[in-house]
Amino acid sequence: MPDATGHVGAGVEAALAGAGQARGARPGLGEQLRWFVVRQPLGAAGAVVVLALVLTAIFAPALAPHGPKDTAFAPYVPPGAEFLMGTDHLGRDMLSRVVWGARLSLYVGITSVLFGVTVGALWGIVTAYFGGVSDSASQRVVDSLMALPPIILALALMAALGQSITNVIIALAVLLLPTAARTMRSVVLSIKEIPYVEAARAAGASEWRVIFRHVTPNTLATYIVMFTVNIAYAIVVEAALSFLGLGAPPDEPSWGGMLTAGTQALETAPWMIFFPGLAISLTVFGLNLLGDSIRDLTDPRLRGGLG
Amino acid sequence: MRRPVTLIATLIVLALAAGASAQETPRAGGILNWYVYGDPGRLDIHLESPLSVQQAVAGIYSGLLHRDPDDPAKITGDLAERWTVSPDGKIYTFHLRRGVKWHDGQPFTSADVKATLDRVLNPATKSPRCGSMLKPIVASVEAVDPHTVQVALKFPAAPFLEYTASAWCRIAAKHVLEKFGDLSKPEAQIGTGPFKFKRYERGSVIEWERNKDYFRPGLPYLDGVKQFVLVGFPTQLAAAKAGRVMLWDTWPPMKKTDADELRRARGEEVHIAQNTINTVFLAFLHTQKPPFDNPDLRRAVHLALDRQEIVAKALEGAGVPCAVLDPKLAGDFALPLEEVNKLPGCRQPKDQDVAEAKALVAKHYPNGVDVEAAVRSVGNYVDRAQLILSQLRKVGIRGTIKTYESAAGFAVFGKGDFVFLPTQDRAMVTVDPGDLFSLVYTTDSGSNWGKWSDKKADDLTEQGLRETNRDKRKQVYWELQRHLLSGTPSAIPIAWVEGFHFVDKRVRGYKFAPTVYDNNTFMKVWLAQ
Amino acid sequence: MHQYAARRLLLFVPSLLGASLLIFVLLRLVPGDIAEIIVYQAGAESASVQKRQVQEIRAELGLDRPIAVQYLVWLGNALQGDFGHSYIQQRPVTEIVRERFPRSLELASLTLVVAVVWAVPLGVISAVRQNTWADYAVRVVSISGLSLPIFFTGVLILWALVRFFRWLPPLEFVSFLDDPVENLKQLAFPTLAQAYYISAPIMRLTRSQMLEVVRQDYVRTARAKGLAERAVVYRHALSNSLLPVVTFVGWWGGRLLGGIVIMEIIFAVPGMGTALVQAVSNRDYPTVQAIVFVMALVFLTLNLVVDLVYGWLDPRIRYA
Repeated sequence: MPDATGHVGAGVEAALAGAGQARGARPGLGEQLRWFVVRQPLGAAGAVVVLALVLTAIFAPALAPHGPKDTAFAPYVPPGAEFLMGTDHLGRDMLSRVVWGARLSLYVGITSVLFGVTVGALWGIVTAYFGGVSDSASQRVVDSLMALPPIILALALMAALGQSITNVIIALAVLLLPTAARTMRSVVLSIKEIPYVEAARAAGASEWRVIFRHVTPNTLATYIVMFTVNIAYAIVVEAALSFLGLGAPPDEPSWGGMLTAGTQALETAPWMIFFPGLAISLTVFGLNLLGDSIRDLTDPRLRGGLG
Repeated sequence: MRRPVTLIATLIVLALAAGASAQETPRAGGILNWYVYGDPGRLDIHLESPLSVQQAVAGIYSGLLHRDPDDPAKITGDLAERWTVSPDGKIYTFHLRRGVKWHDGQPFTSADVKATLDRVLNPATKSPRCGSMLKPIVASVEAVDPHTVQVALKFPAAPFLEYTASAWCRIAAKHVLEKFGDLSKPEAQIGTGPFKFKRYERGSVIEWERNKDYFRPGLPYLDGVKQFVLVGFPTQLAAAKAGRVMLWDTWPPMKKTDADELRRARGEEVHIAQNTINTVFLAFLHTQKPPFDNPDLRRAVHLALDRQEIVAKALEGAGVPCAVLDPKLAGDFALPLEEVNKLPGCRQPKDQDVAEAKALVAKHYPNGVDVEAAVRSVGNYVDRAQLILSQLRKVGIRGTIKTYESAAGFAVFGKGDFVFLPTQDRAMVTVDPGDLFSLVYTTDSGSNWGKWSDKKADDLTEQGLRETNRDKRKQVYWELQRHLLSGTPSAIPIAWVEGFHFVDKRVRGYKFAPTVYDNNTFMKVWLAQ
Repeated sequence: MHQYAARRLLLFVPSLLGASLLIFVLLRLVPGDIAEIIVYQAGAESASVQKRQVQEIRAELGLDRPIAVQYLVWLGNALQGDFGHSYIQQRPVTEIVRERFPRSLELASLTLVVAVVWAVPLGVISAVRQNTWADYAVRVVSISGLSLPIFFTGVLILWALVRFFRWLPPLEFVSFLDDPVENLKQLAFPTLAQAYYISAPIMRLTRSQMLEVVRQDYVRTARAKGLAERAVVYRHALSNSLLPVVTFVGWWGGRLLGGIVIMEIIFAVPGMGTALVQAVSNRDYPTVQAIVFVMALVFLTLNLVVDLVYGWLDPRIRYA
């Protein structure tokens, strides 16, 4: 069954094996990179953006001239020599906030996706593998969770838990869980009957061993794609929650929160919305392009042109 | 040859003069468009407390008294033509207008007034606005004859007329109350006011239409009033800039930056003014939990807060810092600002006060103290809270913000589940100086969230309520204000909030009222073309 | 096939109940209930009086009973079609749903139609011209749709309309049946913004399905027979790839009813999304329960229909 990310099934090992065989000897890292850039220019561009994001996040304290919550300056200063991205309505340096925002977005995005997608994926894999009543029952739970409109679920969770970064992560993780479970389940179902998996079982390997040694690696590509795309999704959902008043606490330098604050001064201080907006778009773009390219590469059915 | 020219010229001048004066006389017709910030839901003026409800039904009802639309600082008769007071000040006799009809054609009589007041005074009704104002002072209501009502007070109370004129104490029909039980439904909106309740499309629009049988002949001028329900701020501002709404005069007021944007978009077509909205910005400290159960710590907060900076940054300069009562609203009942601004805590520069605050904190907490600050995440409360916390950090009080969703926040405050509440606004319902104290500073007051109990504040408030001599009353309130500013109350005054409002130049006959609840009946408003 | 259908139908009910139970519990975990809101927001009476008033209101509304009891009572009534009265609007919740549902349905349907019409052909182009500039352009354009949070796009549209045209869409909702032009004037912009936002996943799915299907034998055979490329693409591949797209639209359609809440707020459309957010904010439990129930019902129904169609077309799936 196709899922939200448009992926159906995967045959990673076979695909990679095929690629390697076509080339003969194993290529060096430089050659592999060049091959990637040539074959997937969009993905390469995406990778560059993601790399920039990660570096900004890691080196935030060094890159930001001031603290992100420091309100010492004059409000609504346009971008200029002193403040490259201007200041916001409380007199905080936008550059510092955007830079620290990279760290926060990455932290929130990675953590929520890590928990949500990983737990969901494992759930989907395990229940699909074992099948039967437990699979059916867990599908009901997943369906129940998915039947709730995501924004409302996130809203209710944030209202119940209270506004904090940790709670945003929890809410996002809960949102991502059911889709991940469903996707992974369909992936596992489609490869459950692949000959070498059956062979392993026939050879007497324990169920768990089969899962971890054979089934899981085949789902790795899907997982990676889901991971990258959902980080972008998490960032955008957090922004939507800020608009509804229940995102990360407004003093935190979350890009979504900055965007919401910026909508209050769209004409007066467009830099308040321009720079966080640019940051979000580039990040989402980069992550999506990268994820798409990985999917293109690892799904044997998608490689190559029409002939 | 010259005579016809002179004649024509004279005629032209006369015509112009006539035209010019015609522009001064109100013309009937047109629909006034404005907006409400939230969907009102239940429409019972006696049971509900949000502004959106009052705004939705304001023009439908009349009160015994009201604020004069031509001069909202004054109180004049609405359904009551005139009234007398007994010599002991305890019995008010209202003589009602004759020939007034309800919107469904039934005649208005004193029985309606009695039914309304009895309902509001009944504790079982739980009337939050009108009820909480009148219950403490009214003993009984009697309909002497079909056009006379007598209200007996428990004691001669100075603010009684002010309360009666409040936008929340409107008169409802006895037969409507009997038929519907309460006034929550749109069908129950039967009043004697200038407009009839035409339509309520929930979440979208509220419409009024002219009451052709209004007891003030010739009024209202407008054919109707339309209020769009606009929940998102960007939509509200866009509507103002596109000319879809003709005025905004209530809560929330526009910020300075919004006013500037509006001026750029429609500067020629609107009047923009900075107004007070009779709303006070307070910080609350819980007096029964550490660290603020210690009066020294409370005093430290009062000394440390730089109200001027808060007004400048968080309110963009639109506010009156440190005043317990705002002279613009309370007149001479307010302590003069020259005196206020010399008092510790309010004076600039703050070095001495900050040093003293630091010493007070260090006396009990040598390493400083950590507190949790509860903030409702509405409007710019979180921004204000951040500013306040950064100021308090200088004296050793380290706060972390915990935000609450709007409704959950009120529940937390009401139950006292907080230690420090850096910002919460309270809107006054009338301009009577005693309002603030009865609402916040007495032991039994509804917004005494910090559970402060101070005999002097209680006594002075009670005294102010009962004192009928104006000068003596002024002295009482001055003493009370001085007591609060020099003492250790749980509710720390930060500023009276102001903001920007606008009125389309086509809208005539409209005056801003001192509270956010008044003067939105539009009975004398007309539209020029 | 009948067994499959019956099984799927049977499993539909627990999911629906599960969703309603989930939101029931979650809502009660949100601090504050309607009694507290009504009393504490006014802040007018003394603390002891307020406490008593809260208890009185709770007793009136049955909120003082154990949660399990409250849910079972709700469920019992719901099964008989009685979803209770809204605490705020004082009228039956079913009336509220009947009023709001068509509006959100209209907005969601328009959004889906526009998104599909826009995204599917793009996906086809992208697949047919894989790894060419056309492919890259299409992918960039559609991802740009979801690269900005939807509220930002909406606010930007509002601002631009005012700034450059001094015009806003109607702020008052008019039903399509009463005045189609006014209705569409209001809904056009939120539709376009939201459709642009959701077009990326649809494009992606179309593209990947096209790529997969096109490789299959019968397409190669058709090509080998010498049919023009165009005929091959449009007749064989497209018709087969549309099915997964339909699945996807079925999945998205259900969630869109709730997902359009931000557009509803910005463009003043009084739909189910705004009613739901308001009800959560006001702790109007019966309204929240009913609206979520309807949204879950729509989602699960669409999924069920799509599953059944899939099961009918591809027998392998029935045994999954």
